[in-house]
Amino acid sequence: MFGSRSCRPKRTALSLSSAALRSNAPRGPHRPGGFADLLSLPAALVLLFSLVGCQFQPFLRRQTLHVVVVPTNRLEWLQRDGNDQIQWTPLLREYQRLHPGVQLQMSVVNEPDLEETLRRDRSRGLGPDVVVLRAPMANALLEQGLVERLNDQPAWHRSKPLLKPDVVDRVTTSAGVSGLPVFSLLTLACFDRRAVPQAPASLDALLALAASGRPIGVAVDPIGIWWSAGALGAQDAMVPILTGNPKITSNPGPGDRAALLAWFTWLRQLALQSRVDIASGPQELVEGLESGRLSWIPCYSSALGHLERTMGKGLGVASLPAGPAGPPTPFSTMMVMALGSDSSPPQRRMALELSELSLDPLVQRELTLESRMILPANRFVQVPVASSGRLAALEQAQRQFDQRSKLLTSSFSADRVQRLQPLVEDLLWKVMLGVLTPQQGVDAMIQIRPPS
Amino acid sequence: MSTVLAEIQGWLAFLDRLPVLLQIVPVGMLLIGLLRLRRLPRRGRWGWLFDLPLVVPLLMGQALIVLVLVMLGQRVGLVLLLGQFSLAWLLLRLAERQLLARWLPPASLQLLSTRLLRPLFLFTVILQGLDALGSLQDLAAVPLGVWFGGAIRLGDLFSVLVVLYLLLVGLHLPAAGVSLLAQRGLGISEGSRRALDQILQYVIFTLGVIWAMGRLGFNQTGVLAIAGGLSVGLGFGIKEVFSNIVSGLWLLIEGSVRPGEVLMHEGEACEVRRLGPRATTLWRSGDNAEVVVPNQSFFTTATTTYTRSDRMRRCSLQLEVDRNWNPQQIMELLQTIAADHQAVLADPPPLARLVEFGSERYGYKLSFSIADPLTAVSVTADLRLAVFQHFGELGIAPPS
Repeated sequence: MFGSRSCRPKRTALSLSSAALRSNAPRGPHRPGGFADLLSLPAALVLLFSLVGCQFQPFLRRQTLHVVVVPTNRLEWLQRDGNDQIQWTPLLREYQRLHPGVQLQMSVVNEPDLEETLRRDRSRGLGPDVVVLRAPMANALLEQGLVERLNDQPAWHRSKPLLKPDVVDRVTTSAGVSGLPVFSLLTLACFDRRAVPQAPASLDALLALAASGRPIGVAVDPIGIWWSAGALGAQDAMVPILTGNPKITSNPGPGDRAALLAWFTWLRQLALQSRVDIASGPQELVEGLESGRLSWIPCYSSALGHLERTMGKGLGVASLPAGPAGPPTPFSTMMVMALGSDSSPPQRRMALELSELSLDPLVQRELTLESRMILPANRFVQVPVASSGRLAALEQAQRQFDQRSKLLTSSFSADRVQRLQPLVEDLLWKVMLGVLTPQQGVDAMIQIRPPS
Repeated sequence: MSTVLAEIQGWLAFLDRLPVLLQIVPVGMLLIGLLRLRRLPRRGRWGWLFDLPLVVPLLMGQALIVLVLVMLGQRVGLVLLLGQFSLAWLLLRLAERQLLARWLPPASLQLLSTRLLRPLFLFTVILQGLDALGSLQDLAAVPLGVWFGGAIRLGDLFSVLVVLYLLLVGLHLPAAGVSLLAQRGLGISEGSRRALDQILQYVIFTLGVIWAMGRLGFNQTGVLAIAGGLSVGLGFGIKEVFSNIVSGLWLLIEGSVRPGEVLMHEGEACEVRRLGPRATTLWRSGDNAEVVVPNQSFFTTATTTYTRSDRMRRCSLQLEVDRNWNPQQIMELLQTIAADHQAVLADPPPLARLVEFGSERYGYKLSFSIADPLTAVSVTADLRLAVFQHFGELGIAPPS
């Protein structure tokens, strides 16, 4: 409207508007007008919008791109830190430099409210131009028609070669490509350097650390426990259960059962240690570490900024410990930029420019170096691991994820996993606390189904 | 402030979208068209349309717009939102006219409507509108700067202002309820009940202000420093206003002037209607006038009250009667006349005295008590007329 629409009706608008004004000028006692008088104001209203589009264009030249950021942190105080917005600063800065006439209006919508918010805004035509969120959520929104598919856009075809095929797979659904991957966040080990000089590299070392009197924390949520499934070989058995593959649920093999039993047995052993704290979730773990109550925890890289502020140089970061079955399977979140479905053509163009810019090597490098808690999606961007132990740990976690984490390296239904997650967590609680034996836990896990 | 302006500027970007224009332009045209239609003369059988509240045809038009947009496969959420506002306004009007008007006197309804219900409606509409256009959460987080050591955000300021406004306009009813309960439970007098009502309002509002300062994170030291500076200003500038406020509070606590009491002001009995923070409103029964008297004047000058310990007032009537009549008979007659008046109390009984010997006439004084001090003038006038009539019947020359 502001940019591309013709301004030809301007003269007509002004003349009719003047006529409307003249008709309202004082002319002695008021005489009720006819229908021409009746229609003059609605006509003036229509023309007002022309004026908004054309006459006052210089005043409104600054265009706006509405960006909704969906925080990955479910921890309230981490959201208050504003990391979810701050970590995008290099991209926004560069975009503003290139497009000074465009105002980026960011707003935050929490994941549980996202679908309803987008649905409501879409019904009004007020949806965002860009939604920044994690890949499974973008996939779910695309299937519901709440975001636009990206694979119709030339920008996707220009960007696709910059991404690894497995990254592309994570945003590809039957409905199309849900968004452009920008960076990933990973599960790491966070520890207190003052209490633990060297992070444990194996599960045995972790148990030995707890046995030596150093308190360690775990939780049964995906960030707090999923990594150990890979280290104990249970990942191949768990992935079909979580994603709904009928292979194991209909006919579980002895190898699957044995792997699950090994994982549950280790979890039970871990829980029997007096210096192991089973927390209710990541918030309790992070609070425990920063207060000094815990010495070692599995942590999400998005919490590193907060932990660094509270712990300073006492914060140690490493990759998670390996187990008898190999390296751990860290949890990873791929953040993507999805396109809103209400944008006008100029807004869509600006949104695509922003998305494409997010994969620019320079921007990707700045995103990585400024936050030091994410890894770039552009596969041609080299992460300077030699100068940063934290980035090295992230890189190693990424390698472990790429090699072993079958759960997240393919597109899956976030909805199913979300519905299943409380049941799985409850089962793991029961095994760790001894309510169920590891064998009973295996049987229950194989029969687990998401609530309808 | 620039953030807020940028946010507002961002909303204008929605006008760039065809689905938005397709919704708001027809509704805008409908509204303006209806407003213009009202200015046309009533014609024929469609005249009844002019009697409907504007919101009714507006709602009908919005429903029609929704229908057309749905048929065209367009978005209708904004029109539905505006329809919700119209419907809520219609319901509010109906509630005011059909329900509240039956229970409340017109003056109370007008106060309730203009000070509470309609501002609340407007407030809700604004919030819903802001929520539709942007994120209320983000707008609430817009920083406004640091005041008295507290980082103020738009949301905090807004919520504090709303709470203080609600306290200001909505405190009357709960305070009146509590004071009524106290009156029934503890048996306090009507004057004390009204005083308690006022004091409760002041106390709760003061607590609200303290809460507001805490909510905004004001530094107590900073507030004290400002208060210190302000006190100097008070000493020079608004000394009178401050003096009146303090006097009003003191009078309430002391109970010397309370709503409902009857006192003498400039020679006339007046009832205290309201003891406000700055001034007291008195009702003068003689001419049904309300007199606004600064609180300070009660604090610094002597005040005659008839209702301090009880509401009884002792009145007197002086007259002179020809010396040829027996004073004893005259005094008995006067006492009988007074006792016959229904407003005159039997206890203490009316009392007539011979107060002066003159060369031609003797002076008498009739004292009597009444229950309502505000009726003193009318009762005295009634008694004068009764004396005149009785004296005439007995052949006694009219008194002077």
